[in-house]
Order: sequence, then structure tokens, then C-alpha cells
Amino acid sequence: MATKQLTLEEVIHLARLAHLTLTDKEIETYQTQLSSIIDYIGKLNELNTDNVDPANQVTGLSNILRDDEINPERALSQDEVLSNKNDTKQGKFEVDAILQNNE
Amino acid sequence: MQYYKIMNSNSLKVILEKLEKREITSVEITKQYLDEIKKKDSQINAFITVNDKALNEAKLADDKRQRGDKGVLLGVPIALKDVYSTRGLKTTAGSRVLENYIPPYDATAVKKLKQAGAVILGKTNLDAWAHGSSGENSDFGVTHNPYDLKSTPGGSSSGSAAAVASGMAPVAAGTDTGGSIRLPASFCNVVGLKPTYGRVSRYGIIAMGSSFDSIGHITQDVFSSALVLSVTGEIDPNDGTTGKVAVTQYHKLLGKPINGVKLGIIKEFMKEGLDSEIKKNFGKACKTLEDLGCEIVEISLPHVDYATSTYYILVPAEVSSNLGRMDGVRFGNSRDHFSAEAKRRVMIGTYTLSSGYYDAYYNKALKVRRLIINDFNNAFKSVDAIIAPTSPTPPFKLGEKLNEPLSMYLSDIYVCPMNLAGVPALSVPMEPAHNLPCGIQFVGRQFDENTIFNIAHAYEQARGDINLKLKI
Amino acid sequence: MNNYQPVIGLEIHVELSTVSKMFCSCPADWFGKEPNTLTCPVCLGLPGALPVANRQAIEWVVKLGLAMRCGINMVSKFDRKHYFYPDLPKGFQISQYDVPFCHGGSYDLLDNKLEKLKTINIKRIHMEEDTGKLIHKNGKSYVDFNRCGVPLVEIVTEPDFENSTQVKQFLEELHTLVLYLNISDANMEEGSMRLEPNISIRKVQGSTLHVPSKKNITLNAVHGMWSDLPNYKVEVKNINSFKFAVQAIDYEIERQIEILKRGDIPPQETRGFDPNIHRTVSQRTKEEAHDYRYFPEPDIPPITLENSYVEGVKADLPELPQQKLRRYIKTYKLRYQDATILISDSKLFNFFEQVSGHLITGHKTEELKDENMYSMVANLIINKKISIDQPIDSFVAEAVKKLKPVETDEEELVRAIDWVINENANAVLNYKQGNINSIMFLVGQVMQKMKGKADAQLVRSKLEEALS
Repeated sequence: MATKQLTLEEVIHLARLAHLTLTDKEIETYQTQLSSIIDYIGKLNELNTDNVDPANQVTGLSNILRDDEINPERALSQDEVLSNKNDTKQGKFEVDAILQNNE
Repeated sequence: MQYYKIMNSNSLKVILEKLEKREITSVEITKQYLDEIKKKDSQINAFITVNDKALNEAKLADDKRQRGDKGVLLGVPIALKDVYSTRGLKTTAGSRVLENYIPPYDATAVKKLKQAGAVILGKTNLDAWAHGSSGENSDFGVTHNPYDLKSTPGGSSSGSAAAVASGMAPVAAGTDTGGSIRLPASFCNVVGLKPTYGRVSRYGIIAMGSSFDSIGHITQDVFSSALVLSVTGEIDPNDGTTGKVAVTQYHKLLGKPINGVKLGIIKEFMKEGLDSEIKKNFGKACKTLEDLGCEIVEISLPHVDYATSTYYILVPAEVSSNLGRMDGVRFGNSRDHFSAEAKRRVMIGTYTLSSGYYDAYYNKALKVRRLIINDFNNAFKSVDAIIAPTSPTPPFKLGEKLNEPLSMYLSDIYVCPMNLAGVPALSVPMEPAHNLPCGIQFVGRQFDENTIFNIAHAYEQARGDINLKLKI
Repeated sequence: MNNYQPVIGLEIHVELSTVSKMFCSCPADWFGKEPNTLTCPVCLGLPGALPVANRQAIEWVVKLGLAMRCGINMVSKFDRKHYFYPDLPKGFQISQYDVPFCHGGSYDLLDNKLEKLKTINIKRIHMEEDTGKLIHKNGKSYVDFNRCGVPLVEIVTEPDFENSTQVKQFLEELHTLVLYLNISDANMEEGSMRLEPNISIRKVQGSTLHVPSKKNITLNAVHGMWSDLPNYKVEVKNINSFKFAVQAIDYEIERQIEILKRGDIPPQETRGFDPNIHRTVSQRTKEEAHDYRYFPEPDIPPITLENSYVEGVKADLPELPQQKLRRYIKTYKLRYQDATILISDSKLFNFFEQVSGHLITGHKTEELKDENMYSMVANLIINKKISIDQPIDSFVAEAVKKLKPVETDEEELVRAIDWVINENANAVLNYKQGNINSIMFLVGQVMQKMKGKADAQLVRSKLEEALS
């Protein structure tokens, strides 16, 4: 039994942030499923983590950089770049019109 | 091939010897595997794409061998989990979003395998985007366990495990983010390696959890596993997380005696939830190791019970980020084509990263991850390696956990902690439980694959052949 | 009494002129190239591709930070900034969130006496990657990813500007500074320097124009601190020249004051500058607060800088524009106007410094009018009296000739003056009647008669003597 419920609005908001379209049925199903998952992961609050350093990488590496050089090894030709789309025009990808008067 | 023998015709030792002695050509052996695929795959569904250039590649390999080329995997057919970018060969990630995507480049791991002379058999099935533990989340149909067609082969490298187990490929590459090589390996009675995070380049492998994804492979035996790692391991300038430790010839360092080696059993794993027969088999495996001279002690990973929660905060967050590039602009279908599990993970990830929740979930999880890393580091102060069952349960039936995502996530409890810490782990078959495959994990320090290969190899030799019948 | 004070902050993006892109080894020189010909799996955002950071770009952002008196974060990292847009292939931009490379700097705007007019505080300078380019045509939109991944430096100032004049001065000087550091072309027309000002108006009570009174201070959601700053701000986009920046800001200030006078508050929004009508216009898209869901970039290990590294970058800083300006005025005694022209153009100031050096070491200075020698050289260069497209030696030779008092044959001069006075009775009469300027005509005539072989000042004084 989920102690924290997501509201339908929150589910819709998440879907919008993530650029996903959901059917009404999906919104409801996800509301239940996500709520129980959120409940489960909330378990972490049982732990005291004051003064613990967050670990977002496990390698312990730092300063892995590259020199400022051009390397044609991985360069893609225009054909290769466009190869996965049929509706390209004059070398560019076509997208739904963006209603802006500038970039 | 009906009973599992270690030194079977799918071991790389056997295959390479035959090729080197010219007893068989790469074309012949590749054709054999292609025939097996034709014969068996309609029942298993391990392959999404079979490489229609495989025989050409095999012919080229044979020509190279004639000219004296000495590639370590020259002429050896290999299957690749369909998250490995292969130039000119469709790469779907098991999802309708990429059902027609043809990468214009090879992943580094693929390049290395090709440079060593390997022949690409095809791309194997998987839980879409590697999200899953059963192979049931593929948009290209479910994969069946060759040892029980009604059971799951485990996931997410379901196709790779099933292919190797059923003799459709001698080696199949996979990825392990939270157990996705080891779990299917243990469900399918084969050897699965999750190398140290960063040992094998992730460049070109469709990313799931960027700080978790380990690039590994599935083989019939430990020697083959060690050999393949000596090929795929790399310090790659194109992947900033591959670090500075040189690759060794792992397969050449096997066979050292293991008496005096200290092994740790994780106290927190040996409790309720572990299937009693698996527990018994694990006990037998421990006895075998003790007979080989190992000392087995109990160790504690005090925070390991929180590993799964931590994992299911951090990985979906990285997933939600990594799947952002599937926008249909440059390649692929629109985001409407994502399946339910993918959408679920993306939304969870979006939630835990969103404004107001970052500290409570994501940042908190990063801290718990640190605690788990410390637990492993502490454990390795007193033992050389850690052993554990790979799965708390035998392979479950197809459909059994489909409607309970949480229950599905819990099948990862013995495997996902290793991904949190970035340590290497190798799953090797034990005696069957309930007449179904199960595996034992050997876990080592970061970049200490040599130790776990050596121990696992010794165990494998002592264990001998396994009396388990394929259902295909 | 003016009750309204503009509060202006700037967000400036500068495109670095590295050879390769920020996270891959594609060429960074994208302008004017065939679409989608400068990409690889990394900058195209293909599945599986991974970023590796450009060390030169990092050195340059540290360089810029030091030149603007920033503190440098010795441990830094990249973060992912998420939003969906067709020109953003990964669905996130690799940027920096809470630990930018540079923080807390400042830049002084000076007057023509080199006194401090205003200090502009720099909140932060961070590193990020550029997006692709969207082109709109015939109701459709198209994307070219050549520019994607080019290194960008983002400079954020505190809202310290009070008017468009200060903004223009700052932009021009920042442009010069960046050129001195040799890290970018900083060309607003080509997009290698981009500006987004944010503008709001603060209402002030009577004479307390510059001192926020305690009772007006509230927790300001917009500016993120306790302040008396207005609780809204308007961002303006699409400004691609200094001139347009001034127009946009001036228009906005007026527009907002109008609204405030009516008793309303200008809505918080992003507006676009339309250069055709010299106004800002409301964007048609609905403004939704972005939730960028920042988290640390897992594919790029953190960057740790050593003190010796930062000291090294600092030591390698060239003489900065304001330092050079001060030196030209104090040491070379140049006029402010001439000095500012010289320092803004490296061709000019390099030439000037070489010539000046040469003049000291290479020629006997008593051959020249040494008073204001440097001013004269500056003058010759700025007014193009002698071409600078020639070797230093020949320039100096020409300069020496021009500046050197011309040897004048005194006897010939007297004869020439007599002849000119005789031939030009009208001019002589004009001069004697009080038209001082007629002397210039007569000087000219004498110079002609002497075939230029006379010192103009000497001619003039002798003429004046003769006509008195």
C-alpha cells in the first residue's frame, strides 16, 4: 500500500517534462505503479547520511581530457549523418515548424 | 549437445584449436551456427537480426588465416546484444523506437572484436533498452529459456544467454547494469562476466545507466570468458571513464592454485527469500572451494539491503536522461513508440531529478551509493573475493512477474550491489536447483578480474560437468 | 525627479575559437560550411556516443576568468541540463550548474580620466556546448548540427547596469578583452558573441536613488536574494550587434516605465528584438518555467586544477586592454581618444609599439621633435598619414622625415616669402585686415615655391614677421 500517492496531475506533468504522450488508461496505471515504486525507494530515508560524500562516479578518476585537435577518424559524411531519415532537405533534417521569430 | 560439459564444442579453447589446426574453417563453423539458429531460434527467439554478411566475414577470416594473420579470435563467430552499435547492421535496443536504426559507426568493443578477427553472427534479443530481468520487455517478442521453454532466460541480456546456452553462438556479448549479464547467465547455465566498470569501453553501446553500465559477455566456460576480456578490455580515449589500468592476458593467467585464498560470504544475503535448494547448492559449492584450499568467512555489507532502492533511483534517472536523445529528429521513431517499462523508468527518473525532489531522492541515493562502495572496500580488506548465489530464486515462469514491476526489480538483489560499487563479478553455473539452472557469483576488487577468473576456473574444473538437459 | 531606475544584467555567450569542438574532435569552425558535414556520433548525439572534454577550452575559460578577476573553482565538473528542442540532439546540454569554473569577478568601467565610473560584478563564468542551428523557411523548420558541440563560455553579470550606454561600453570592452586573450573572434554579427540582457525597473523614493532603503527590501524571487530589486525581469533575445543592444535596452526601459506609470507591473517574460522595427516583441510561445533537472555528468570525471596551473595561466596573461590604455596615457602621454583607438585594434597597437621601440633605440632622438613624439606617431598611424602596410624601417624613415624639422635654406626662404607676398596682394591685404587664416594660404604658397623644402612652422613665423 503506497503511503505516497502521485496525483494524476503529477503524472501528467512528468509525462510532459519527459516528452511522453500517455493515454488516460496509462496515466492511471502509472499513477499506481509509480506510487508504489516511489514508496519503495523512499526506504532510503531510514538511513542517516549526514557527512557522507555523494558518489556519482565509481572510477575515482579526474582530469580525463583531450587535446584540442581535429581527428577525422570518427567524422561522419553528410550522407552518413542523414542516412537514418528519408525526409531530409538540402542536407538538413526537417522538423515540425517551430513557432518562433528567432532561434 | 544435450548435457552440459565444460569442454564442449562451444568452448573457445576447442574452437580455436580446431581453426588453428585447420580441422575446420571459419566458414564451416559459422555455417554450423547459422544452421543452429535456423533450427532452434523460432522456439527461443534469441536473435533480432542475423547478420546476412556473416559468411562473407567468415570467408575473409579464413583468407586472413591463410595469409598468416594471428588475430586472437580469428574466425570465431560471436553474437552481440542489440545495444552494441554495429556499422551498417541494424541496432534496435529491443525497441520499436529504433526498429529501423542503422548506426553509421561501430562501438569500440565491436571494433576490438573485429580487429581480433571475430565474425558477427547477429544481434541478440533483450529487454528493450536493457530495462528488465526476464527478457519479457522486448518489443520483438519474448525469449525462452533453452532449459525450460516456459521459463524466462533472465534479462536483460536474454537473447545472448539463450543463444550461448542452446548452442546458437559460442560467445555472446552483453551489458550488465544491475545484473543483466549475470542473471541470465545463471538462469541459462552459462558463464556471464560483468567486468569492472570502465574495464571495457562503453563508447558505442546504447547507454542505460551511464555510471553503472558494464560491458561484458556470456560464454560456455571460464577460459572463454577470460580470453574475450583480453580482447575487449581497453583504455579508450573515446570513453573518459575507462581509466588507466592496463589490460592483461587473463586467459593465460588461469590455473594458479587457490589454496589460502580467502572468500567472503555476504551475511545479509543468506536469509529468507533465498530458495532452499539454491542455498543447499551454494553450500556444496562452498565445500568444493574449501576442498581446493580456500578459507571461507562471513562478511557483512551493512547497507546492501538498500542497494535495490538506491539502484532504482539512480539508474532510472540516468535512463531518463540517456533516452532524451530518442526524439525522432535524426533517426528512429517518435517517443510514442516507447513501451510501458521504458516509459515507467523514464518517468521515475524524471521524478527523482525534478525540482524539489532532487535532494530527497537522487542526492540521497548518491550518498547511500557511497556507503555501499565503502562496504565493499571494507570487505576486501579482509577477503580476496566475495562469493554469493547469483539469484535468490530459480528461473521464474514467463508471465509470472509481468504485472508486478516491483517484484521484478527484486530479482536483482544479489547482483545490483556490484554495479553500485563498480566491481567485477563472474557468474558460473552451480548444480541445478529444481532441475533448473542456477549460478554462483565470484566478486572481486576493481580491476582484479584475474583473481576471480582464477578462482572461478578452479571451481569450474573441480565441479565438473553438469547434469542438466536442454529442452531444445 | 526620476523615480524609475533601470536594473540591467547581462548573460553573454562567447564562442571559443578552439580548433576542435568541446567534447569531440570535429572541427569547431562551423560558420558557412555545408550543413551536417562537421559532425560525428558524439556531437550528433547518436546512441552510445560519449563526451570527452577539450583541455584547451578549459584553459581558456580559466584565462577569461582570471582576466575578469574571478575566483577559480579548483574542483569543478560538468552537469547535464535537460530540455527538449530539435537543435539539442541529446535532449540535454552539457553545461555547468553549481560549480562553474569561475565565480565572483568584477570589471571596472572607466571614464576618460581613467577614473572608475562603475564596477560591474561578474556572478559566474562557466563552460558549455553550443546547440545546432534551426533554420525556418516556408513554414517549415530545418536543423543543421554543424555548430552542435562548439565550446561556449557563458558570462553572467549581476544586475549592475543602469543604462544602455554602460552596457555598450562593457560589450565593446569585453569584445576587446576577449580578442586580447585570443580565445574568440567575439563577433556579434556572426554569432560568436551573443547577448541576452535582462531588464527591469526599480522604483525609487526621492533622493535615495542609489541606496536601497531597509524598508523596501523583500525576499526577491527573481533575483534570488534579499533586495529591493524589482520582482520581475524581462529577458531579451535576438540581439546581434552593439547598436541593436542599445536600441533594445532603450526600448525596453521606456516600455516598462510606461507600464509602471500606469500602475501595472510588466509581465515576467522573454521577448525578442526585432531589428526591423527597433522594438522588442513578446514571443508567441507560452512561457513555462523550465525544470532542467540538472545532475552531474556521469561520463566526464571531475576536473581538479592545481595552484601551479592557475598561476601559470595567470602569468601568461597578456597586457590587458585597460592596462595598455593606462600605459599609453601615462607613459607615452597619448590623448585618451587616440589611446582608446589604438588599444582596440591589435594591428594598430602592435605597429605602434614596434615603431615606438624602434624610435628609441634606432634613431638619434634629437633628430626628431621629441616633445610628444609618441603622440605624433600615434597620430600618423591613426589618421593613416603614413601606410602601416610596410616594414617598420621604412615607416620610421617616412615618419622621421615628416616629424623632423625640415632644414630650410634661410636665404631662399626670404626670397620665396618676398616673391609670394608680391604675387598675392589680396591675401596679404586679407591678413592685414585681420583674417588670420589667410596666413595658411600664404604658407602654402611659400611651401610650394620652396618645393616643400622648408619647415612649415619656420615659414609661418618668418611670414608673420614679414607681414607685420
